[in-house]
Amino acid sequence: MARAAKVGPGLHQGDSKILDVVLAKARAQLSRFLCLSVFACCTAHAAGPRVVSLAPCLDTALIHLADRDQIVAVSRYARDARGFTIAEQAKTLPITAGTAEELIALKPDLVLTAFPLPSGTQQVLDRLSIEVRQFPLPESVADNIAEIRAIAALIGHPERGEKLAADIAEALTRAAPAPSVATVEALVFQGNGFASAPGTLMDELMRRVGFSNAASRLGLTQSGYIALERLIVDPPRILLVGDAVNDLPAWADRVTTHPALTALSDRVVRAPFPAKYLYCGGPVIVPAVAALVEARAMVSGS
Amino acid sequence: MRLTLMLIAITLVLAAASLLVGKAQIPLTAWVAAADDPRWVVILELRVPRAALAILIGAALGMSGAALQGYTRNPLADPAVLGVSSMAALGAVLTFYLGALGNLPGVVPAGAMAGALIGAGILLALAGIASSVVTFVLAGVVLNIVAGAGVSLALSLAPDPWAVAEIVNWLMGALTDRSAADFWMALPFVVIGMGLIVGTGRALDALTLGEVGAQSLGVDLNRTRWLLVSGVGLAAGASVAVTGVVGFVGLVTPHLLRPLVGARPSALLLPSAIGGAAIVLLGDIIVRLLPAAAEVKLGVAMAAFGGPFFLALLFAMRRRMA
Repeated sequence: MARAAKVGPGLHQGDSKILDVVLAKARAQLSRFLCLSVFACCTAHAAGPRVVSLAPCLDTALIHLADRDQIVAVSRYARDARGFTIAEQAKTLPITAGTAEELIALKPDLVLTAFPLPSGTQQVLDRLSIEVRQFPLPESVADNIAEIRAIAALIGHPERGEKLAADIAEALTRAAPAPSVATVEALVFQGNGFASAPGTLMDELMRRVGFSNAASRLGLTQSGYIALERLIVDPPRILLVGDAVNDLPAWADRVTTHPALTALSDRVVRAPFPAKYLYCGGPVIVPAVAALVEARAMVSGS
Repeated sequence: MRLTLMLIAITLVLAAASLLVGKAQIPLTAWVAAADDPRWVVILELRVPRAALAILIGAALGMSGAALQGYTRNPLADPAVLGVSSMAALGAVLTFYLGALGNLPGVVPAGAMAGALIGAGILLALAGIASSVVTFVLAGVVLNIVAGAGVSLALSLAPDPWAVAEIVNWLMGALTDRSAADFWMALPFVVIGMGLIVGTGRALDALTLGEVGAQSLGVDLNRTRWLLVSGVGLAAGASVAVTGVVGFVGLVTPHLLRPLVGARPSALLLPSAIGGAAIVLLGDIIVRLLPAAAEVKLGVAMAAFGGPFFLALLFAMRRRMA
């Protein structure tokens, strides 16, 4: 306005009118923009709390259950395509290492974590009255579904939690073998020889699809690395082997591709089972169960 | 000579013993089993490469330690203390940040070798400025700290949880489930490296008179340093490339053998190589006999069992001297 007044005297009447029109338009646009942003912020609040997740499996659940603009940030591991199914979506979301500074700047209403936060971080969040909820890695399907329902309720979308729980139940029912079918012994066999032991979500999924888990027979009391020697002397019928990235074996695959394993090739089936299906449960159970069903078909067909 | 033959005998006995132990119980009757018995696969493709690798890296580390202790006239020197092993581990770890390129076969061991040689080169350059043994040792210790910090940094910036597990494997060496391919990959580098180290033998003897004394005997100190550093870089680097960092062997082997061999550094090189092989074989047998669900890492076990043993040895030595 000051500029218009200043140039006014030297301009023709028409020019000054044009300027007024331009300014008026700009003002209108500005106020519309302000209105919209107020509106956007209010609708986001109406749709549910703004959430930060600090663990990749909670990132997975959150991305499936929450509205996109509810997710303030996810953990940095979530972008790893080898480990997690949501890597592509995570690349479009902000990431956080979960330090107090970052969390203060992000101003979430809710922080989801799999492990207790460092006490310093926790104290800062307490002072700011930001709610922190801890959901450890699920050890059974029942635990997992309870967690999914709890997270869905916390973020204001309980109906999506119910839907996912129903999807998981349906996938498991469809995958369950007929009672007459004999179980097949299987072993998870991932990078460096990692296997899931009984008492894990993965073990339950295997049993529900008609496998028995060879891990404890081969000396594992908890999930960990299998000794190749024992595997070769007394192998299970099927190995659930992780996929190599870009078809190239990584350094960690030197155990799963050890030359001594070729001696087993006529007795043991190697079924592909990507590492990203191994841990998280929740929405990952559906594709994980599908991969297990395919693996079982590989042995029942022979 | 009698000592060398005895050490060879001990090493052969330990090598045979190492074929008999493992996570799979293989009774002696299996040794007459048919050729298609899976237990033969365990013996031939898992235990034989493992024993061969133990001998190879034990020899590389034992001889490197003896040569470095001879050159520096410092009983603390060994490839791990002077940072060569840590630099190799850092080189290997950094390949995890190369993305898909890091998955190409051979990139990880190449990274470890490059790291070891760069580390050895830095050691040479830093030590060359003042060309004194004290700077050499100091340079090594500082290099070790910097490389260790680099690995810790890589650990805290790791792109995914799998990389974390993998980096930890480099920090604590192991021979678990290695294959013949690992042995053949390391062999030429270790052999060339040990050859270079043996070439320093005469100079090491002269150096017992001090640097000035050695020079007056016609020893080219620069050439000695070059031979030593590239030899240790190749031998220790190739060892780390296939097993990760296994400390302690290079440090303790020369000390165990020095009372038997005498003070002449060149006479200690070959016995230390054979003795190192025996010690790594023994350590690797022990980790397989421990009743843990997961195998104890060789690098950890060497320090855990070797440390107290070494301390006891030191106390015994002190009593004898008093």
